[in-house]
Amino acid sequence: MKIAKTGNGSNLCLALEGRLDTNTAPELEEALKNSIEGITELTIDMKGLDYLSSAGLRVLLGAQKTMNKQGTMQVTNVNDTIMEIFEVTGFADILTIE
Amino acid sequence: MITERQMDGLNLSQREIAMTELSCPGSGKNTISLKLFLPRHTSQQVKKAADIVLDSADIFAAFLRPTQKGWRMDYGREKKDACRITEEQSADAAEEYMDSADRQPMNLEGSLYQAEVIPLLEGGVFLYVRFHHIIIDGYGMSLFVQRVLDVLAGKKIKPSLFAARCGNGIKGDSSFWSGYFSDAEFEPSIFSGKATGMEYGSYRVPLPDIILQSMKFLGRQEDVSIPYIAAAAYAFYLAQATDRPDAVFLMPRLNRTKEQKECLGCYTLLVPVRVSVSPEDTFGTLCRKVKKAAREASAHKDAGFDEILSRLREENVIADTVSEYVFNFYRFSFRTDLPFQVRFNVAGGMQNHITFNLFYNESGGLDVQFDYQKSIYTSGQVRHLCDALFLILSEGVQNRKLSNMQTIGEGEYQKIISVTGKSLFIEPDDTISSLFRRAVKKYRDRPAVYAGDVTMSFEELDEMSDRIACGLLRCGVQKGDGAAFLLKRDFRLIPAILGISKAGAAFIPIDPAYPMERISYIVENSRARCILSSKDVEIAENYDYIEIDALAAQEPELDMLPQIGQEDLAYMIYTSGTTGRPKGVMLSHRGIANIVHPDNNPFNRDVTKNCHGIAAIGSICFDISLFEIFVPLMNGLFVELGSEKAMLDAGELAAHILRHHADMLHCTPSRILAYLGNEEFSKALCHVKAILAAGEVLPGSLVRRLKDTYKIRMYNGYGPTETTIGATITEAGDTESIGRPIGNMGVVLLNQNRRPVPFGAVGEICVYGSGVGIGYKDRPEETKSKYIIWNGIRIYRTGDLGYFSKEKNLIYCGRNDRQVKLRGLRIELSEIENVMGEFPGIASCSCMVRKIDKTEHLVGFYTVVGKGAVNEEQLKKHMKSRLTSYMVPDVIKELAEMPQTPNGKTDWKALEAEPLTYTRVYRKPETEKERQICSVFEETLKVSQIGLDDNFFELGGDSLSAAAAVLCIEETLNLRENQLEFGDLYRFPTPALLLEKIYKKQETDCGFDIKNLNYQGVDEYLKLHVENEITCSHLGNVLVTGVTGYLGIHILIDLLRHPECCDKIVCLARPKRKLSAEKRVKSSLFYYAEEDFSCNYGEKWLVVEGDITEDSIFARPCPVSIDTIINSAADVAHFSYGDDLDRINRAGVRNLIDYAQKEHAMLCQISTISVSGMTMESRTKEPFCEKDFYVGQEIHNKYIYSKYMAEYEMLRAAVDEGLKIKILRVGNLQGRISDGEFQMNLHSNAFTRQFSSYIKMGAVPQSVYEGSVNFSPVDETAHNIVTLTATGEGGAVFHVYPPVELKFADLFEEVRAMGSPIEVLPEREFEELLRKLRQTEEGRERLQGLVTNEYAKDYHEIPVIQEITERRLEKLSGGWSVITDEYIRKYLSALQGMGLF
Repeated sequence: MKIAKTGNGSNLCLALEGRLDTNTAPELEEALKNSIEGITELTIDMKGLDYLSSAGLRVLLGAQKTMNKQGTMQVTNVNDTIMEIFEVTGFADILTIE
Repeated sequence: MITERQMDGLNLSQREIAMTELSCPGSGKNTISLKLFLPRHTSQQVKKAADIVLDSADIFAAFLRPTQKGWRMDYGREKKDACRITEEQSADAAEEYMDSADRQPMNLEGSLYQAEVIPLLEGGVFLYVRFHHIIIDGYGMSLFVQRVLDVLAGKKIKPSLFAARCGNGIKGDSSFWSGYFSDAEFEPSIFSGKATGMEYGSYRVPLPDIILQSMKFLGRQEDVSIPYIAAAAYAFYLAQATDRPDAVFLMPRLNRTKEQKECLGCYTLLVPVRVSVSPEDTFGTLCRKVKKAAREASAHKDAGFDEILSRLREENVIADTVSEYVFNFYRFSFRTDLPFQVRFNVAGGMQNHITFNLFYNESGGLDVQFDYQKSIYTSGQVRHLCDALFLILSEGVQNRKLSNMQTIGEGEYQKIISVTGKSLFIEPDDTISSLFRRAVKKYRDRPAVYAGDVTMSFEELDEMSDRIACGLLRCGVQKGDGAAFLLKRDFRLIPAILGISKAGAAFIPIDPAYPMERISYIVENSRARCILSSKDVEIAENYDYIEIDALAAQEPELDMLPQIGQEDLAYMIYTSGTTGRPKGVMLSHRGIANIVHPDNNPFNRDVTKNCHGIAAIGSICFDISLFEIFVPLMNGLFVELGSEKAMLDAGELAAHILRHHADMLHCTPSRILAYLGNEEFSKALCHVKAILAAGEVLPGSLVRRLKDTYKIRMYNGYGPTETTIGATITEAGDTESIGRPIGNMGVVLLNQNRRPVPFGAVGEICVYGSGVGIGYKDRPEETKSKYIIWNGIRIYRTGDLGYFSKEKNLIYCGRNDRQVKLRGLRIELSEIENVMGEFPGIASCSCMVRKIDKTEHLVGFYTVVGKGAVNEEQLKKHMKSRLTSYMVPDVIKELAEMPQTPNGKTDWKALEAEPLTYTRVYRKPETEKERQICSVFEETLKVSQIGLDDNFFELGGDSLSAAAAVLCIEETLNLRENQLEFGDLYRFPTPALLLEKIYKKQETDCGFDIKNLNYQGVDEYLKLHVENEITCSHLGNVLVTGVTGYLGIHILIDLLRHPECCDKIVCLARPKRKLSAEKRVKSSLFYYAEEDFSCNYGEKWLVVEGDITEDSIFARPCPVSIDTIINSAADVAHFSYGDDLDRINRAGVRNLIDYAQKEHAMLCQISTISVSGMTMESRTKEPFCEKDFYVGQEIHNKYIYSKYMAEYEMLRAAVDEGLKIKILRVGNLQGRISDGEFQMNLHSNAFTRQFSSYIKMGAVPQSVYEGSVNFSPVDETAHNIVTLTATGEGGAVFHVYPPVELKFADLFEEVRAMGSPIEVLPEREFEELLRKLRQTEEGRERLQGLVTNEYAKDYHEIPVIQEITERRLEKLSGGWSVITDEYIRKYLSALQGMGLF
């Protein structure tokens, strides 16, 4: 999975590409840890993300929990497959999906 | 309740038999037998043959085992009872022996048959086999005989396997039957009465060949078979005998499929057949109608006879039974060259009145056999029935119109026309005047009339009447004229009557108390030549009358008196007519000459010997007064003419009786009853010797009282004015009947088509003989319809109904117009009155249908005995206990006295005018549901303000509006289908009762109905398919359903990771929105397994679009053939509305069963251990193991019920159709053992919801904390499922969950370690906390997970064990990992990661 980081100041966008699973989730977790401080607007762009596993989902929930304290988070460009997962898990209500 | 019994392993037919058995256990009911006579065989040969047949059929190894709630049929009886050879007997003794054996009780729980060979002294043997009907039906007995004959002929016979093809016990829908019986007008029986005791008889004769040949001819012509022709004759007879347009009889239907045809067993089902019989039809048309009606009925036989009956009862089509008449055709004809004779006795369980059997006989013809209930039919009556049917057939085969056919055979006809009184010789020229003159000659000086202060001897009376006669003639009256009289009840009255008669005129009595309009009408209509009256009669002023005193002053001149003939008009009496205008009934002298004969009837014989005179109180306008005058006078007795006051006052009547010691009286029973309280009257009665009552049924208590206290002989007479005063009379003291015809009179009972009804059946009383009058004055139409010529005799149709007792006494059944229709239901008012009158304290009562505020109500009026009081609530209760609900009056009113017409009959007009109110007590609806039902009632009935206790039918509801209301209630209250049945409204007619019925049913019942399913063969199947050795086998091509679910995806993952256990894997999945089925499965795979197995997609596995709830399952044909189906598709919502659960969990399985059968695939169903259900029983049930299915558990949860029913469908398919199945019951599915990963939709898991509630509350009750929970890691469960599925057929049911439960304590300790505090609270404190939390919204949210678990405190779950599966898993090297702390930590962090806490 590739993670492309863009942003300025308090805005941060992480564009994901590939599959988010047990192997790649730590990468995302790491990326977030390193850059989330001071961020008030976090965007996760899923345009290039094919698959999502439970491990990846948990990282997203962690990020949401952090952002609840310091700003907002939105998930964009969610494909149908991943959207169904969000819906079944109830994450569709927790995350802000654009 | 009998219907609550369980019948395991019985088909519908057997269930019905078992049910009837339960009502009378241990009797000889339901036994049937065969008697096979073999002239050329030895006992040993026959015994051997019988034993071979007994051995060849599994049904003879069947026995009924009592279970806790009913019976179960098993086939494991160790040793069948062999045929026994009895001692040699004479043929007569053998017949007698078999007949008596037929009546012996047969215990259902003992041996179900008995076979004996009886060698005869005369040579030959009888094979006598008696069966319980539950193991064999009539057709089965024929098969038995055929097989015995085959064995004797040296043929091989095939084994008969009933258990495998006995069919199921599931009842079909009964709604067809409502329509089938709509508008039916029929009577269930010809003769009233219920069959009592076990006494039945049989009458068998061959059907005459000439009739049979013509039947065959008609059959070809009309395209109907012989049995339908016979049934048509039966139907025609029944319709005529019951005098109804419809006939209903019962018909057992064979109910065998092709493969059941050769099976010894019981399948037959009874159906009612309704035929409408129109007199305009030809007999051929009727035959076709019967065929159609029978076929229609047969197509809906699977509703079950009991169910049909209860439906018809609920809809008030019938009160109790639908028909007492059975028609039974034995289609079997035997194929053999051996000489034999066979007789069947199928009457064993006979409850009905008549069974008409039709058998093939040895000579190829047909025998008819009537089995009859001896308590209802005599052998003579049965012969009459048989004659009648033969007569109908012999005329019918000429295809005549029904209206031109007879329905009574010659013998019975002779009996019917022999109901006559004594033949008496009456001088052909006897008239009123000649008879009186004869009496005068004989009794010259005797007192004839006492009237007030005047006493007249016979001579004086004769002279005065002569004067009047001559006076009349001098006034221009001629012979044949009418002469009306308007006179007071004084000494001039009787001379006036006699005078008019002597003048050759007809007297026309008019009561001066009549309104003028009526008087004028009578005068005008009768075209009376003159009116006799007097100045003291006020109303006479309005008419041109002849003064009676002037006539009485005339000189007598006997020569001028004319010669009078017996047929001349003697009098005209005006009775109320239906049009409101009175009608003049014209009578000749013949009737009077007859009825005054001293030997005419028992009363005349008594009084002419024993009495002196009568106190006459009958109104002169009613013909009974003529009896009071003429019978005494013509026989030398006196008439004490009661004054107007004496007619109404007990004391005055007493004075009249005492004045000259009158010792005979004519009176209505109700008048005597009313007067008995009067002391003077009571004293006067001591002088009275004989009383003639009339017009009402005699109360037995009154007759006994008069006999015991006063030694009075009481007679009861019956007869309309039209037949000259009387037609029948009883012997003294008879209270049951209205007796027999009086001298020279006869009675015949006819139906509406003017055909006689069978002797003993109810018909219209028609009178013939000397008394029958001339007709109605100037009413030719009415005269023609009431006075008819029947078989050459002139008869009068009374409009009254009656029937003959066996002693030929006539029993009165009320007016035929007293049968009314109320709200579409036929009601016999006299029946209601009989029941009402039985209630203690009621003196008299009358019922009628009255309109109150535009709505018709059944109203009951009553009077009380003495000063007593009647509790109306109790009275209503009494009536409800005896009558069907719609026959209980809505309004009951006490009257000080029952209004009577001047002649002492109930005055219906006065009752019609009696003010009435129908009061409803308004109970306001309180709850939403109550308001809803009340408003449905209001809308349907268009009545405002309906309260909770208002009766739907009392407010004008009828069967049509009832149907509308039920539908509307179902919709408004959003009820499940069938939660409210149409008939419920009849049984629960108020909103309050209805609500109780709807909601009580759900709360108090035993959950979903699983006990009435067909469990036949299931236990045996499970026994055979659970504990056998199993071996590994290859799955072949596998179809997996439900793969996007938590368990389904893990099964798929397991299959994909163990590719060696199967060939191809086909996943059935639905597309969702834009997502294709394939994409969805792959996405799920990745979510849980982190790989999508794309590399061997298409080769090893593929996804096919489809849906198990669709009939075809696959949207496109499945590209590979399937060997194994693993169904893990399920709706797992434990609480759900709508039909999703049933649709997916049950109907889906049914579709898969069909598919599996087509593919010859094995169907593996993922089920749940919750099907073990719950119980309320205090003693612990045996643990529920793999061999168990229905153990008497209750299921209250819709989800569990749907899973139970899915298993049921599978087991039935396995038992009935040999489907290969596996049922894998799983426990509480939890996180993966490998990494703790939990299902994505964790919030729908009941366990996690409960668990999260405890965490959110920070507290757990001690009992939970110390307990444990079934905890099945999903990946291991899936792996074990795959392992167990890949085995042979030896194992069909598995319990797939770990043997050790997880301790809650371990789970909570770990939660604490993760930083969430959990307090363990004693029960009471926890309850307290719950109560507190419930008060706030935030608190309630925390409790959400607990709500669904608060169910049913009184129940406990039935423990489940899995030892059998466990042993198997050990062998197959499957099994379960130990749950470690490490695992729990992973599991909890997975839950936490998903935001559970």
